[in-house]
Amino acid sequence: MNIQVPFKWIKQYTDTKLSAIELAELLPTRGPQVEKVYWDENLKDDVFDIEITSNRIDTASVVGIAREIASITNSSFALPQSNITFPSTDSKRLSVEIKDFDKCKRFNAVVIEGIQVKASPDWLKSRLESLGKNSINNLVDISNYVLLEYGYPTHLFDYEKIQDNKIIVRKATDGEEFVSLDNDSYELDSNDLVIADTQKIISLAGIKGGLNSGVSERTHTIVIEAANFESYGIRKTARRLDLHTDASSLFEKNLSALSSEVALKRVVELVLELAGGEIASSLKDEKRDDVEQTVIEFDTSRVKRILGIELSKEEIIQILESLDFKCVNQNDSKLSIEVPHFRANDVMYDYDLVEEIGRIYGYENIVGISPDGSIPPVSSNAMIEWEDKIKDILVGAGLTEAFNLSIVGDLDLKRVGLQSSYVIEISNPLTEDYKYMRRELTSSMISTLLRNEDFKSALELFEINAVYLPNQPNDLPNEEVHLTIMVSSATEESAYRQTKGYFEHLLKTVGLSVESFSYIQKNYPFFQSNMSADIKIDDDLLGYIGILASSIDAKRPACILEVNLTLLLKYILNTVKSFKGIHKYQCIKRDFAFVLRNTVKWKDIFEIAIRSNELITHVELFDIYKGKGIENGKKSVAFSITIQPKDKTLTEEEITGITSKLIHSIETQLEGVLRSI
Amino acid sequence: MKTIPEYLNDPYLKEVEAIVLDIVKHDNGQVGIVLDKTCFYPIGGGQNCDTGKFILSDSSYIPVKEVVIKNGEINHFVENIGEIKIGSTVRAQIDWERRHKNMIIHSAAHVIDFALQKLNVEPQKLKPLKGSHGKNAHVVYEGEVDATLMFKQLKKEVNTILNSNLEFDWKFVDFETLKNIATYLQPGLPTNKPLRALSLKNYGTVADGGTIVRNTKEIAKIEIPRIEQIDGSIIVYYNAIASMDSNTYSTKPNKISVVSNDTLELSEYISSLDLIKKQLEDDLEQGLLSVNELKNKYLGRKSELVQLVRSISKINQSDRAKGGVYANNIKKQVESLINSSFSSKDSSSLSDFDVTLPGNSLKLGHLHLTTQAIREVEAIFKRMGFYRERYPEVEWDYYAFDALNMGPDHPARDDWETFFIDKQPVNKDYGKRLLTPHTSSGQVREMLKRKPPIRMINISRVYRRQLSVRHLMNFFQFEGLMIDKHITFGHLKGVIEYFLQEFLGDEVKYRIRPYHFRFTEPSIEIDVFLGKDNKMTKEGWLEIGGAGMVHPSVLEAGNIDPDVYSGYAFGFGVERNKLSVGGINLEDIRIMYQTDVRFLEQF
Repeated sequence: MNIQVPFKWIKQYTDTKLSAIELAELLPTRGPQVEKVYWDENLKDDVFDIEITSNRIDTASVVGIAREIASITNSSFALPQSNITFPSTDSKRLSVEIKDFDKCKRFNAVVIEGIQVKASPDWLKSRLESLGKNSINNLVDISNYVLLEYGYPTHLFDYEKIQDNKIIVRKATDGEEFVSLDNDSYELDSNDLVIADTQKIISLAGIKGGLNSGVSERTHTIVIEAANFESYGIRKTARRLDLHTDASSLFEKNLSALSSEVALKRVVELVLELAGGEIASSLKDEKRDDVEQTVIEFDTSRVKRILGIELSKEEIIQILESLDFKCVNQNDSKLSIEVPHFRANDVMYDYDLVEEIGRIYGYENIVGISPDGSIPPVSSNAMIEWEDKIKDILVGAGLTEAFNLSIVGDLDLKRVGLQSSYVIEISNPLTEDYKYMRRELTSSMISTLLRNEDFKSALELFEINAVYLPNQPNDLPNEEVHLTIMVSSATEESAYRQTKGYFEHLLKTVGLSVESFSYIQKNYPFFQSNMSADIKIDDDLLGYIGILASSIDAKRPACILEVNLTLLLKYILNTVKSFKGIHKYQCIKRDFAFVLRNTVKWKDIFEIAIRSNELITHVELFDIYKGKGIENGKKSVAFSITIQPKDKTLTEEEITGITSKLIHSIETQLEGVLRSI
Repeated sequence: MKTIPEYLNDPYLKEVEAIVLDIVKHDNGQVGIVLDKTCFYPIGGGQNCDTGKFILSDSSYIPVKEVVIKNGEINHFVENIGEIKIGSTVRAQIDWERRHKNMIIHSAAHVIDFALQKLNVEPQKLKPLKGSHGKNAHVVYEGEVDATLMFKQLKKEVNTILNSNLEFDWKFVDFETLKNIATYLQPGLPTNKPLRALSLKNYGTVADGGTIVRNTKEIAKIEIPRIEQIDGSIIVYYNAIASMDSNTYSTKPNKISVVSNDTLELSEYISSLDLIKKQLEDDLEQGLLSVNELKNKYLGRKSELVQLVRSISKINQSDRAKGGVYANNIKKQVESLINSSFSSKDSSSLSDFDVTLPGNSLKLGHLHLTTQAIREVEAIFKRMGFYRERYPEVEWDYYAFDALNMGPDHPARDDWETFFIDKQPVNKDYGKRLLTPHTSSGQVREMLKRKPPIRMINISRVYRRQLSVRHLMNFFQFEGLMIDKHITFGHLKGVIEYFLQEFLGDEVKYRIRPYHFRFTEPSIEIDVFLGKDNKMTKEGWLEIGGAGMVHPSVLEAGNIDPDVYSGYAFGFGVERNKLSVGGINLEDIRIMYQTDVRFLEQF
């Protein structure tokens, strides 16, 4: 939350010599998060716009900011002194009962009679208006004024409207109705805290007053309430009813219960001054036992240990006292520090005091130290390191890295034929489109393809990211890293071969043998039938590759490969590149083309060729041709072989011997017919 | 003859529009085309014929292979007449390079001839017999002379002619007139029709029917390697080279040198060298030649200069040293002139090597912006001895909140702030499963996994229940954790300073603000100043991340004794920092993870 504070108002409590601009620069480095300072033409004043961090709700007020400024700039600080005394007996009877101490830590109240409801004086009106609050009447204005000044909400009831003069703090009953001052009706439940009399709800605790008990023109006796409510409950009720008020936003941030009495006294003082009347009851103060001033035992050596700075005990005490802490006892380096009432929820331990000392000392005054000490003998997570290398290899080869959200929807599951029971589901999704943790990257790649195919005809993308694989019920999923490559191209075959080409390029670059991976035809619902395969190495199923099914409705043929990198990493880490010596004799290349049946697989040709002679070290496909000149149902497959002599230069006859055997094997085993090249 | 021989009037005419007068089929199967006029020179007079093409009205063309006077007519021989008919109009276009070469050689013969006539070599006047002006060009005279003496004088005279830039002039006259003005008349000239009288100023007039250059400056050089005397005849062998600019008709003085296998006079040697330098200066002034062309012309293996340097042995022994020094000096000057002239100019405009040609295009991949951003920060922290870890994104309540001192009431645990897998706790120790809202959930896991010293960075995805043009529900954070004995706030500040200087430069302006996190104490936020113009900032300041000293209760949750160890932690955004620092103001930040190639390919 942000608050606005006029500079002149601040100066009512402190005599800081710094200008508004100087303060705006200094304060954020010490505490109050001034986001900007601006000149208000109506106020003729500088106004600070300050973000309140959740631990410093005590600074969400003019007094709170003034106190910080005084401490930070080493200036004086003074609050208006009051000399109010409360009678010990009630001339107007009032009793307070807290039924739920979990939700209400403290309840202060007092009765004032004989007041006069009228317009506020000009100074009060202008103060309120300067911060965007309309002036209503003197009583309402006083409550609002104290809220701005002290940052603590109070509430005023018409004494006559409280049945039996009894205030009860209790939970609402399910379905109980509450009508607010603004005449809006709310249905409450048993999680909501209310202020009631013996018959009815008179206020929604910490959020809004009720219509039935508010102050009117005819009011002459009032009850002033300054209470403290548990923050979580206020937040839940305000959110559920969508009823957010100044009071609720303060209580939500856990105001100090010790401060309610201070706020109440300030209201009483102003009521007596601006509306007249007399205090007609004792100060009611119902509270939980633990509402008491905190004293922290503080070993000053902690300052050096945590902040790394040397401060004397006196310097430490001086800083703490400037923030209204009190040193109530000291013994060598041990101090007993009493925490001021407004910091009770924020400063509870010695290390909290260290923070106060650090920030007022000024973090910029602490000298930075380069990382010293021993460097942990730890390597980075191997998967992370390899992910980076693999990304570089694929980008270097010309692929572009895709990055998709890891949360997917029903459509994504449907595209890859997954049941929702196989994925981790979010119980409170933002929208139905994003409610599952993806367990594969293929579905994201399909969306990517469909989203982009109008912009670019040949898409070549990859993604490396975690997938979330459900484990035992009620356990965390396994998070594994997958790689997917997608290529869209003019034909199925070119898309397939490009995709596989990128994958094989990756394998070769990381030192794996392409031949140790096998592609075993396997059908998947999202791939065209007979156009997909499982990718295996040893006994591990690494992933799959295939041409997207026509039901996906892509404009061009597209191939997707997905493999488990976490699994592949095992093989990568086992790769050893050994030196195999350098061949002395020049290798010989020969090209062949055979006409074969369309159903003959390259793998078979490859195996026959490479096995036909041990000197054949490489067999590389370079062309497949169907069409004119080749009879129907057949294809021409052209490939080259490399013959690597071992211990002598081969004669032409020996080479012919090797090639003849190869030709013969293909002719007899695959019914191939050699074409002349 | 039906055809007007335009080549006699204007030897520079490259094309004429002509009408086909006749198409003659000859016995040898050749087809000759006769035109009403032509610029094609027919073979004869020792000069080879032109070749070229006839361009027809439809822009197709027919090659002309040979041009010969046959049966008194100029026949343009073609292999196939195509669409040509008698009466057709064709554009007869010669191969100009071939013609020009022939013309230079033929003209050179006349220069030699005029020079010889001028010399009037004793004891008797030489009588021209014939010439051949193709390959192995030569002219033949009847008579006997002292060849050695003639050789020297001839060269000198030829040089004089070439250096004087003399104009050839020609006119058509009758036989009688020609007889009077010509130095000599070759036998067999017709007496009944106009003849062309060719004159060179101060040198005389002869009869000639070949193609002739307009000015002797077009001939760069005439080489006369030898003169033979056989049976009362003198054969002068020669070769001629066209000036580089002979097609441009420039008026600048031309230059020439004659290199022969004969002896050289020192003065002649020096003046030849001077001429080369002068010619270079002229070329540089004109600026038409590229550096390669100049180097080739003046310093190349076949250049005059190099030839001259090599022919130093032809100078008398006594003068040789002098000549050598002079030649080397000129060569150096030539080199430095060429080099300095190109270093002082924008050489790109003169070099024929085009450095602006595009490179071959390889496929260009792109790394995602997020990966780039992660790498930048990772590299910086690795230099400080940090290692990288990764912890679950689907995480327990316990590690995301409880272990980090964030109690059950903490607002971040509301189910409108954080994605939960479970509505109710499913594990009695760890509670519900959720999508971690911050990388800090890895802190306690790291402490439980390793004993100090710890220097970890964890760059990972985190999840928030938000989605708008400004907010992603799935984005990256990087978290740093250092735990050791005696770690103080000073160490935290040191690492932040180092990071910011590496990330944003030494001059980075930053500030530390006290802040509030449950798992650090003290807690701070770090702002960097990026300038008030940066739209991603508040008044110029960008909140780059949060940090603090690890809260004692967090250390305890990690089984680390807070009385022995201390540490710091920090957590910075990844995408927004990268975008902000780069001043990239995305109107809709969701494009980061929509995988739009039009976006991706820009980074």
